Amino acid sequence: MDHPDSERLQLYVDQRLGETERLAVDAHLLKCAACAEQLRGLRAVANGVASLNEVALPPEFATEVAEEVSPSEHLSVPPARRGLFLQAAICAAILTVCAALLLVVDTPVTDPADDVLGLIQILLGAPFDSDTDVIAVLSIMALAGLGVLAWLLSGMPRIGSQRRDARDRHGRR
Amino acid sequence: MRNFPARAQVLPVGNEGREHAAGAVADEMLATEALTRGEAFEELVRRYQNRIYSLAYRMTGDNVEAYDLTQEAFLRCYAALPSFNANLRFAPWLYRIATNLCINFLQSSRVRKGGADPDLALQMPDRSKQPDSLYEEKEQRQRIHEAILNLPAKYRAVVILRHMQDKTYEEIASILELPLNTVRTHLFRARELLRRRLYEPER
Repeated sequence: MDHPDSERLQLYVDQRLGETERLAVDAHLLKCAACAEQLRGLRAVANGVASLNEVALPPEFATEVAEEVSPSEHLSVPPARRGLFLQAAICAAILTVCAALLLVVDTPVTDPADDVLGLIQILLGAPFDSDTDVIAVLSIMALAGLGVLAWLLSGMPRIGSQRRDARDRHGRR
Repeated sequence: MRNFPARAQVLPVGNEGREHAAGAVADEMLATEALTRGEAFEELVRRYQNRIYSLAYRMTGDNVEAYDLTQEAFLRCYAALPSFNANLRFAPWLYRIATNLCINFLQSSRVRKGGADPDLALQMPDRSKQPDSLYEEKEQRQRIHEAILNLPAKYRAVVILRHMQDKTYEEIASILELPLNTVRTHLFRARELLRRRLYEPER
């Protein structure tokens, strides 16, 4: 048999040659030092790469990744971790809306056409027969809307920062 | 010398439990539940995090980039779960996402070269206390690690998948979505380059 080429030797290393071919290479290797040397090199490469140790991530990595993709996890972040600035801004917005509503109630109506509350009362229909009822409903709706918005916004900054935090911790250790 | 900021913990080969414990829920079952049950996804990440991280680390040579790529691979995996076909195997699908990310990263301009083998880096201060043969072994691993980093990205992927992750030719072809013959050619060239670099006597 002629010298087997590199590809044939590699298939030999990976035990992917048929029986006849394998026996032919076996026989050749017994009498050809150059091919035997080449084979030793290829086996050393295979064993050398296989000997590279696995590197490990800490167990909390899985939890961090799972938290990042799970919306419910974002919403359950402890209040202490939410941005102080964002909380202040949301409180200010809620107070502004409440103050505006109070102003509307206290302002005397000079022209019935300007009575916005009267129009809303008509739109909302029979169950609301006074300005106070309408204002109460509007206030509850506004506060509920702002509450939901605040809840959503306070979870959002964690999405980006969480990855940066994890990566920084990883780099530092 | 670049300081290796490894939190990368070196595991003995085969320590990660390549086979899941008897009675463990199949990966594919977890993958179908992962979108509705957070614990299922977390379990999947836990099962594969070290294998994917090792793949990314050996391909990039940088533990911080490898961390990011591993995280990104799992996030993309989660995003693609609705299209996962539970009749197919989960592992090659995840490996495909991870290797594609690594190859794209290596072909981008963000690549930083170098990085010591974490095993060597963590153990180097103890050299005086080690038997020479142990130190030589580690030095040899470092040479292999660096030689792999000098291969083109597509060769790195096949040689790591074949010998570090024990994948067959067919599995590698499925992961990389390449014809079997191309995988064979890449693997042969990669190993031949490594053999010449590492084991051929200098003339």
